[in-house]
Amino acid sequence: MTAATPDTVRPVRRHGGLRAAARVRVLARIEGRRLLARPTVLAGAGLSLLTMVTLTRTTAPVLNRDDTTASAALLVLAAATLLATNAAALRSRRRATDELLASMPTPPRVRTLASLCSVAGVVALAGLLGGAFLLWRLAADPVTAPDPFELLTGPALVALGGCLGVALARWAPSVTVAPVVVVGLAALEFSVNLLIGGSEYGGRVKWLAPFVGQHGVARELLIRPTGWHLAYLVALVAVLGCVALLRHPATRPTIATAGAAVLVLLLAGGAQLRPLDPAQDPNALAAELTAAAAQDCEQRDDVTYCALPGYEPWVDRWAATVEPVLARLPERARPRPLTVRQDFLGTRLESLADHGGPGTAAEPTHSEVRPGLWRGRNAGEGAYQFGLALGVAALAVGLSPDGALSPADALPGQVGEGLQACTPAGQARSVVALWLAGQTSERSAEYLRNEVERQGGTTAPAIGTPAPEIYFARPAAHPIGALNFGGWEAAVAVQLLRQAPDHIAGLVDRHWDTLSDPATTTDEALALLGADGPAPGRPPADVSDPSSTEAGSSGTDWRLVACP
Amino acid sequence: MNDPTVEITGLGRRFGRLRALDDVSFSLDDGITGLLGPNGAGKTTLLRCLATVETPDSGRLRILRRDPGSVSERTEIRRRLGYLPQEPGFYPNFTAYDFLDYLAVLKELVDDGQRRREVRRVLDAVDLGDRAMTKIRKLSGGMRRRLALAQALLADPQLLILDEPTTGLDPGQRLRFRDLVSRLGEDRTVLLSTHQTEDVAALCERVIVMDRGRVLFDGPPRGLAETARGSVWLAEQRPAGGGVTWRNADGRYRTIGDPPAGAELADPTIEDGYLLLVGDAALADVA
Repeated sequence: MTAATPDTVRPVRRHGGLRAAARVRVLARIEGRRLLARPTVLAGAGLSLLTMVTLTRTTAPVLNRDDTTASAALLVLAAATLLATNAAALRSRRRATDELLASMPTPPRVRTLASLCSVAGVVALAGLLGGAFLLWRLAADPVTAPDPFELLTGPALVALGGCLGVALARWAPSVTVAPVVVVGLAALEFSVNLLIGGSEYGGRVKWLAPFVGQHGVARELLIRPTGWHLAYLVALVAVLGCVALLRHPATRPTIATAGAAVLVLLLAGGAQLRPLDPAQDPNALAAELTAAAAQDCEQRDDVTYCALPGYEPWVDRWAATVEPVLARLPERARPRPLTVRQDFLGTRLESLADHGGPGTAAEPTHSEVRPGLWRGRNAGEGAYQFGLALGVAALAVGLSPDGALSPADALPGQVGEGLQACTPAGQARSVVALWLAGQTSERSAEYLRNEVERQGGTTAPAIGTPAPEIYFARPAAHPIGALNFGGWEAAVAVQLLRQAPDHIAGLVDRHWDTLSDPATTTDEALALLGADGPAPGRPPADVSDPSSTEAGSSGTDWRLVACP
Repeated sequence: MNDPTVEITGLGRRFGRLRALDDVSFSLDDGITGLLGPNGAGKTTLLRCLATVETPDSGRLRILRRDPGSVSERTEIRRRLGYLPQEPGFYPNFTAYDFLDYLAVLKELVDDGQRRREVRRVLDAVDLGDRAMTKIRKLSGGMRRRLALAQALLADPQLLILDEPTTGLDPGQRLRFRDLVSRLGEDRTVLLSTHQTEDVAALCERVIVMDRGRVLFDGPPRGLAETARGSVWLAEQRPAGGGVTWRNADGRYRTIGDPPAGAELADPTIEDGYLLLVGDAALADVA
């Protein structure tokens, strides 16, 4: 050890306030850097990003839904930040440096303030993650527009987690408290977003929770007080910061800030809880938005495409799927008029019905196919294209919604007493419809092949049909959502897809009247279309006589009949 | 004459029924003062009071000519104080540099350049310059002790309070520590609590011996040794009976207290004086 050198530095003396501010700034920078390097925060950031990508990877960008998804994913980072700031603020206690720090001229209040300010770095990281996610989605033909308040909610949640971690460290200085609080908050969020999610329109009190999701309901039908909620969160952050600081002798700025924050908290919290105006009723909005006059419709050849406001860029995608189906149909078989009209299918409209709403917009007509508010992308693109194409093909072969359950009713467990459903299993026309849908694109064909391979052995259908069935991802294309096709017919369609499309199209053209007749069986379709190679295995049950009374999975009696 | 750096009058501190400090009075000026005493003597409580992290129950305390009972004056004291607690605590995931950098901010060194130079200076002062970027969890016990000493040197304190600073240092490091502290003591007040009488003999101009919360001796080290003059004996055989006795390297028995048969008087050391003063408590420490 050597003696102290003469260039010893003495503390810079300045006005008290300035000195404290400078210390807070430097300490916050040091703590902020350390916070960003903590494995908990890095893991939280990684998991948040992974969640964003996982939740949206297979769907096309819908920015007024993706903004909420980003905030939801940042809950993981918020929890990690809570744990990390708590650990950092408890550092002196955990490492027994309290005595040493107590001998320093910097009061504990400055350290607490610096710990609170250090959260800014992670908040910025959350903003970067959300921004990167948004850019990634913007690069993939997005529709609608994001809500800036919704986008800022994610970083605000992270700030909330950070400040809560510091406040807990000051008032409940134990390393076990923060994990327990995280579990409690996770349970709260689970309750708000999953358990009572179906009661979207039942009450607004859930907006007092840090994060409220969309519960699978379209943003267009929701009145989300995002601005007030953001103000509420920011006020909550300020209140928690003041709570942490009030562990030390109170100062006037702290008391003043706490007072202002509580006022904003009450104001914004109260504004969120205001009951909805009847004009904002989601059912009324659904009907209004799906009314033909409200939609931007575009005529292409014989097809009319009607998109909801903001979704117009999807018309090209729909046309790219619908046209290959129409092109393989005999001229006389093309459904005319055909309208592809977007509505709120696939957005849990049943929750509207639960609350006295109509459950859906105007009843579909025989010449309409109704895509919903999502569109498949990447791995989900095949399912989407197949579903939409199947809707058109089903109309062409005469499968109509008559006798079928409504999409909402068709959900397992929601079949009502005495309801009737129809199945096209065993009918030649379902083979044709499936082939038409599969040949739309390579992805569509791949989806059909994969589903046949995956579900081929299904023998216990959820809604109690007497024969093995195949379930396609709810295609968001009315009325096919109500129909479950026979597994054997799907396997036959896959075999047809291996042959030249022009050849099969020619046979379909030649035998159209027979193939589209409900009385024509799958065996006869095989003979007419000349499936190449051995026929796929026949299912064990006789699907040609599906009329029977069965008990649904809910235990309610309902009647299954052959589709007329 | 200037006011003393530390002025203690009738200081008392109790913890329940235990009287940790009992009417302690002394003053300190520039230079190095050693504080000796067995475990439980009240040394650490006294140092904590001087470091302003403990509040006495009674008596008067002035540090650096300021009253630590006043918030603003206490802050001024802390600005001029370097304190090495008995168990300073470390942040294992910090590097040595980061740890000192953090504490330097708490010592109000907010200018980045200034702080960087100061951290480098104190690291070099304790021979840890080449370990600046090593995580504390990878430092040996002795290195950590030096790091703790380094933090006490931050911002050039006028009053240095060191609670057992040489614990865990190897002989070479202890020699260098003595060199460092002796230089520091030239222009500031250093109060050094230790169990090592050799450190006191080598470094201190003054020694205070405490036991059971009270000051038993306050004077120069030689004076402490002189208190044992006439009570230190060398004998060929281990004496029977009580007293403090141990076998020297030359095979003779050194006894403090009543003369054993055939023993001859020996020149006393500081250790002899200390042992004579604290007697049983020192033996209990040894046990």
